[in-house]
Amino acid sequence: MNQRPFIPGNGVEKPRSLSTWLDLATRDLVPAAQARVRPEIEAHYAEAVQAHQVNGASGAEAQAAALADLGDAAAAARRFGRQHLTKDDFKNVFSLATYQICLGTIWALCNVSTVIYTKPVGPAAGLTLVLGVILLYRACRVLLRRSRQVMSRRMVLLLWSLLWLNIAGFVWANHFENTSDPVSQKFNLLAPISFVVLATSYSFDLLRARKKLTSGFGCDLSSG
Amino acid sequence: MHLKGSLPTLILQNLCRGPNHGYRIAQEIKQKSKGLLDFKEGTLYPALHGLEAKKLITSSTREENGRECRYYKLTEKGKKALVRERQEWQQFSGVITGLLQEAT
Repeated sequence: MNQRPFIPGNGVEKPRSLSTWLDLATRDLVPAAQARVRPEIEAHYAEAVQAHQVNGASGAEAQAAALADLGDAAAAARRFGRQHLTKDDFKNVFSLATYQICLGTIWALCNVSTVIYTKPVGPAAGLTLVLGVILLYRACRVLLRRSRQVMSRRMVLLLWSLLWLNIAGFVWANHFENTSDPVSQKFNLLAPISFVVLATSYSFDLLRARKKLTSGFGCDLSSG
Repeated sequence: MHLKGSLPTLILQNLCRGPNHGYRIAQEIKQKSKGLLDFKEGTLYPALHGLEAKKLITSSTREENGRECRYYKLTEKGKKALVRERQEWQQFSGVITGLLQEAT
């Protein structure tokens, strides 16, 4: 008889062990979220197996019944994905934040070294604007989706900082840059320096968040 | 009977009697409903984590029978939410009961 293999997520065959069930249910989550979910389900399963054995089931029967009680792993995966940070979200946020920090740092360093900053013109300006709008849109979407969910507080702070930097940069570029007002001139000098300091700090935050979310050890997402 | 949407309220109701862990919450809900409310236990944890994210419950781990168990506890915000949910449910079920009686 030709048996169809188990391929997680396509619903061809149900997982036959807790380990496979967990792999499927947590496949989209970042390792730190997996580390939160897996021990809890494992403890639940162990207790369920014990209860079924007390009721007279054999070891194998108890395990099968406990696994059946857990239900559809794919459905659980969808629900966990709504409550925890997923790998896709993390990649999205991490790449956006890295891009933003790099772009901002280059702008700030140019401004410091050339004193008089010249805005990009032509296609470069258009491209920068389009990319900026896309970044803001995607960051806002992740924030709105994740603001009330279990995720790293540092990641939320990072995203809010990203938005703040975009808004501050926009205000600066449109209202203060290249004016003769003494306050604006001071701001012109302070803004790039502040940005470099902030960007350095955020870069460390970003790397810390990456390490924390991808290592999966000793991390409790609920406590941020 | 399908539990869609009412599981978080049932979890809050269960936790108003004191801290509890996932497995026991699931079993108590099933037992109290005499098996009528049946749900897959894998869906319980996303619901618990969602309530925790909304700060309606908090959790902490404890060692029990050599296993690490995560206990959930109702917060003040959770207690208020439960009162609100109970009122809404009573109002809703009262209306439906009235309408069904009228129909017969």
